[in-house]
Amino acid sequence: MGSGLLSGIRVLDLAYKTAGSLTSALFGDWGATVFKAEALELEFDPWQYAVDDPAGRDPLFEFVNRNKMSISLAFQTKEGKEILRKVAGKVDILVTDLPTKILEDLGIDYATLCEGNPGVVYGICSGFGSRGPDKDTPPIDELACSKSGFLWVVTEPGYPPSYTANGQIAAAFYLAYGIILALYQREQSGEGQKVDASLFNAYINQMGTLVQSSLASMELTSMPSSGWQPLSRSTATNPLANLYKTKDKWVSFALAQTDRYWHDFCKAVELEDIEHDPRFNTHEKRCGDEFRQDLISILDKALLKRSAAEWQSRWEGIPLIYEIIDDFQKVEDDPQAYVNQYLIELDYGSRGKTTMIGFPIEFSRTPASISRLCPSRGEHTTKILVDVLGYSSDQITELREKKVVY
Amino acid sequence: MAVVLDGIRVVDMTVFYQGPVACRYLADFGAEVIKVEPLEGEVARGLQQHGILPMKEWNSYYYNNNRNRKSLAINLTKEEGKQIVYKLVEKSDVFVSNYRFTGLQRLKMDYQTLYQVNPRLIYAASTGFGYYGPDRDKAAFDPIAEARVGIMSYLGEEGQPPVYPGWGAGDMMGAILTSLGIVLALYHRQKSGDGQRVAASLFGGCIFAAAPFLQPYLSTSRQDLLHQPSRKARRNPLCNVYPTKDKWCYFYVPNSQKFWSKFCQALGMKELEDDPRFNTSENRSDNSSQLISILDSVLTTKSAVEWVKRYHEEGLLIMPVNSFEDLSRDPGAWENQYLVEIDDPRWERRKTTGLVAQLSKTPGETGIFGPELGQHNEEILIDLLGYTWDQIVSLKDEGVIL
Repeated sequence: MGSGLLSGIRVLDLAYKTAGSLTSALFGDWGATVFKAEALELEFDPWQYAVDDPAGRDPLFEFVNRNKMSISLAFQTKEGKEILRKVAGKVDILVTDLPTKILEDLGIDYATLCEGNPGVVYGICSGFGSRGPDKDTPPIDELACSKSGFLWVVTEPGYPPSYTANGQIAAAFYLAYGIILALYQREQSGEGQKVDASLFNAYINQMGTLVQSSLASMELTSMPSSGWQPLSRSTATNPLANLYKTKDKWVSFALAQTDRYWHDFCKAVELEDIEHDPRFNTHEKRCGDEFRQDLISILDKALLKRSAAEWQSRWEGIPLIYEIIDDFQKVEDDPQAYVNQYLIELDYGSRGKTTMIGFPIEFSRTPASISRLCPSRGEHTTKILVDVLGYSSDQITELREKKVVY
Repeated sequence: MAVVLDGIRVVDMTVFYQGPVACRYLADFGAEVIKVEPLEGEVARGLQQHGILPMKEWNSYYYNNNRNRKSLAINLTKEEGKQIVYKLVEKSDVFVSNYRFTGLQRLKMDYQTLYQVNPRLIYAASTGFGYYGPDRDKAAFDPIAEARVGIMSYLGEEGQPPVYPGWGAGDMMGAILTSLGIVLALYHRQKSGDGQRVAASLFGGCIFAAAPFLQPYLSTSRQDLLHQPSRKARRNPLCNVYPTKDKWCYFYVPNSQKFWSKFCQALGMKELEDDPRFNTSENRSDNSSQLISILDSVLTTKSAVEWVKRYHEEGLLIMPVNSFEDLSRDPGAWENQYLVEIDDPRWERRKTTGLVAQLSKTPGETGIFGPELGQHNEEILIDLLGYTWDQIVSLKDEGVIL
């Protein structure tokens, strides 16, 4: 894999949650050699707070752990920790979400590690950052989604909050970004450094402009606090950029410039009689506080009249911006997803073929690839001990017998 | 203190959200970003409203998305305008655009053309639906991409309107993926000397964002994984969102005996612990709906603050579903500099969001807000590209530059 983006780069993956695991998997996609260190002790529970049963390798685990090798070590024995430290001493990047106490106990916290390995780029994905009242709260994505305002802003009034799970994916990308910046910097300075990302910050940034605008409004206008409400389809600020129910499925419209589309839109939804209605005949009126809910109510009724398929055939050739809301079965068959490798087909041998979420970025010279599937626990213990630390087969046999490695 | 992307110059031909923010992430870490915009200014400068929030006092959308860069206002439909940008590209390391491919072709700013101008260039296409495929030129709108991925159908209770997961969350995914692709290409170029084309998109970002729910379905084809389980029927009822007197709260508690005991203690209903319907983890799962009903009514008797106190006393995790107003006062957000105040000479200090990652030795900087239109025309043309004042006067007269 000499031509890969990260050829020659070695990564030690000590992530137990999705975000950090995905960061390491991406490095593997881009040609790095990734060692996933897993505790030999099955009861190892970094936060003493396991909500689910200890994983088997479920589909999400397999997705975020592709392109890695697995070494299993006894995290609670002196010898196991020593091997882990030796491996850590030989890598370019370490990725973790483990609490500081555990990292210190293992002897691979950043302060300790960078003494023997000054070039190491040390990436941490925490839950809520290294400061503040939640600095020791475990990196649980549901809690970060709640604290950040993201869960609140996507909740339709009258309905319960619906956890979106996207922050941990964003955090994986933000952490990867910081790590690659540090790697780039290292080429010039020769030194590594610590990189921090968090789930909480990921959610804050996923809302981006909404948070920024809200903060600006709090400072600059006299808008009362009750003015900042979650997004709601029944009071959408632009009725033509909103969701509507048809006879069967929902449809999402995204017509930001309503003046440009108003004539075509009225014709398309069979509401020619409101095109010149004085309540709706300018963009300002359509989106203004006085009449927009009237318009939404009218559209609610109109769209219900036909099925999604009927509307779609009626809208052929009309320049509308819309999408019928379908479920995952639709994207599963979407050629646009496959041709860009956002979805890929993998051969799982006896398990047959499976569709996996693929590569998020395309590179013209140095494409990403899957060179190995998610490993089983300890699948590469021997290989890593031999290749990276130069252990003999006798040494390894002894370590297995003593249950220092698996 | 070293600045990571010191010496890297980025030509930014982006509009609205995903593209400008991708460039902002580079600028935050020291790249010199030059925004190339038409004489009338980038479209987002004219934004009237952003959601419920009017932009008339201050266009926080434009000024935030375009932080830390220079503005070159130039007429690309004129040949001389194109030549100026080619000269700029020759002296730059990165070119980023979220214009459609047909548009870039027309302007002669496509990959093939710019590669001839500068073979070491990193050319980043940050679009709606990807570099390839029948929809490569489809306009990028976040609600359209999210609808297409299926996440809107997945989320929410049965029968409720589809949940749109955040306004522009997909754009933000597309943005970080673009920046990430660029720095990877820059890193590779350090060793190989080669430039290349990088592509990321809103649609790709949305597919990844949906991964926690989409991948389990793709791997198993199980129909029950097409929709989020109702909050009224969770296998672990102790790990669920519950209404309180004022706010919803996310309770996150393992379904074991040890934790159940503490849960009941915090709830103030010790008698529930031995209730035969709920006295083992299996019973709690089997009778989950009943337990959830009980908790729904009990938890609404006290405020979120009260429950947080009680649950924390028992060492249990609970988090209120905070609003933006809560976030604006959150000490953790400020102490970690996830929220910051920017000191820009044009205005008093403004609160906004900070950096997406923290580097211990070469930290980034939030800098100042976006530039005024054409603010750096002369600086770029004279200092960087070697034009004279006379030439600049002609270019203005001919309507090539502002």
